[in-house]
Amino acid sequence: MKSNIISVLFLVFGLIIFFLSFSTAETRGRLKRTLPPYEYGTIVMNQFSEKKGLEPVIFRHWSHRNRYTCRLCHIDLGFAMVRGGTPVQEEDNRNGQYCGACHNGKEAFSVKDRGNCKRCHSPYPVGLDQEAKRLFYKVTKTLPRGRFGNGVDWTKAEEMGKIKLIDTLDWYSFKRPKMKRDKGEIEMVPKVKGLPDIIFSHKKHAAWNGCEICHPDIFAMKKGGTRFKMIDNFNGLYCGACHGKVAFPLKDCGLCHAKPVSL
Amino acid sequence: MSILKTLIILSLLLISGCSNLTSRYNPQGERDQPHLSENRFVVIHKEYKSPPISRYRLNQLLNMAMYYGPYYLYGIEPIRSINFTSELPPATFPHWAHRIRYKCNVCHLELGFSLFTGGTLITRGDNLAGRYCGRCHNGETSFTVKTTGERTCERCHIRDLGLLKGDFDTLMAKMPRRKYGDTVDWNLALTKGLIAPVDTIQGIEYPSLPLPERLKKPFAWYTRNRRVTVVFSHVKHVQWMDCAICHPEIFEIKRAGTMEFDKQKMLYGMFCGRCHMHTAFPMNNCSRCHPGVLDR
Repeated sequence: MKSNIISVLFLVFGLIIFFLSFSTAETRGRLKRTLPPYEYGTIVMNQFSEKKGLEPVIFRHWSHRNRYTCRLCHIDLGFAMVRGGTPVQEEDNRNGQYCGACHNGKEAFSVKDRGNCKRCHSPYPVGLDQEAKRLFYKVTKTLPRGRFGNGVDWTKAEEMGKIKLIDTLDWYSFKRPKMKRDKGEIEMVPKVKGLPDIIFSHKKHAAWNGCEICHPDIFAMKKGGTRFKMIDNFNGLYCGACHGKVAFPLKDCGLCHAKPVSL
Repeated sequence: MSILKTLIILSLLLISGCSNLTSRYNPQGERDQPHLSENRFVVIHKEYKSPPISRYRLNQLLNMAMYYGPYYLYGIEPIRSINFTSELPPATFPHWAHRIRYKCNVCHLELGFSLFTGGTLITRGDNLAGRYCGRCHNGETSFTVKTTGERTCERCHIRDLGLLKGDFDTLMAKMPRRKYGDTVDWNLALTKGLIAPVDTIQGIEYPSLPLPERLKKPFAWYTRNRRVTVVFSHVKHVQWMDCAICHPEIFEIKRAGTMEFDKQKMLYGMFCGRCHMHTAFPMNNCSRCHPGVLDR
């Protein structure tokens, strides 16, 4: 009996160690392939498509972010910011929910038109859709260049007025009071000495996000109330909720760690 | 009896001389472990989860990692057409011709080329529209992708790779030489000012982040069997490239966060092997990273 218990304990211990080994800050050198600019921010939605016999939906952020704010889809329309978080089905779209709120024939092409199914339920794998690529380069031709991600400096494009962002849908969004308080810039001091401080600009984010996207779900509203590390960002938490897959990748260190180091 | 005794003593001596066989799994061969001075290096303490591989296997591995080919073919990348229907041979991209003029950031960060062979899907349409190769090969910065009277597609879609030898010899006539890889000492050429590669074509200032104090000293750590040390200098790499090329995709930023970092991974193009198998300098030159180890 005793040896039985001991062996079970060993097994459990071993399993715990095995599973814990995946949760530490490790990298195994797998370089994730850098996505081409027209495929950065591309999401594949496959919760129900393949089960119903259709290709999965390939959703490209760049074709939407040049027209609408992040807040509109993620707060008003209710899209989740994680994979598999939103159960969108054809019925919802036909009833004017989720994608169907805009893809109703008036704001954008209609989901009800059978000829349009293939525009989203695309048979081309990510990276090989030449039509999407052509459209991308046509749409972003006049936008200011940036490094990484889509190769477009979206913030600058919005500030320069090259793109005009729509923040509400008259037939869908609820009326909310306009939030006027600009909380200004926040400086965060990193733990590693010699690394420049992080300058976070509320203004640059509020133009796209409003307040609701980050507060209070991702970040506490109390000053200094959220403590996090860079590894959390790489794992998709805190800043990494947007900056990694969609907004711009976390490769441009100097963009946030921007405070000039005083001599 | 005395012959037997001599034989026994001799065989005992022989066996004790092969002490590496017994110390294979003994990481604390104290007298074999080189000393890493904390003043010269930032010593990283790595923990390895599995024991070291045998010397025989290690030797097999190292033989696969070496480059003994022609010097003008080191750093060559084949760029195949993505639909495999082209009649032309794949385009041959020589790193050495471009290293003279551009640093790594320009192509790999600004123009969007992938660090993997076959990772960038380039079409002729892209080149003609001024993306990827076509960004410079448009007739202004460099020769155009379109065919002219004298030059055909075969300027890049080379059929006979021996033609590269002439180009190489012309370009590298005045460069300092060394023994391995493409036999050019790039670091020396850079520090002496013989080449002045451009940092950026988008007007970005590099390095995008000032190197923190702690990273200015070289790193050093022990390998699994603690007889070999590895030395890595950030300064020498930052003079060629920006942080974003290696971090965070190839190497973890967290201190000692890069795990299971061993020699086998180099063969697969992971970690250091991403550049130091085919592009930068080959693994023949052991002593550059492993002080005290003989080159192959």
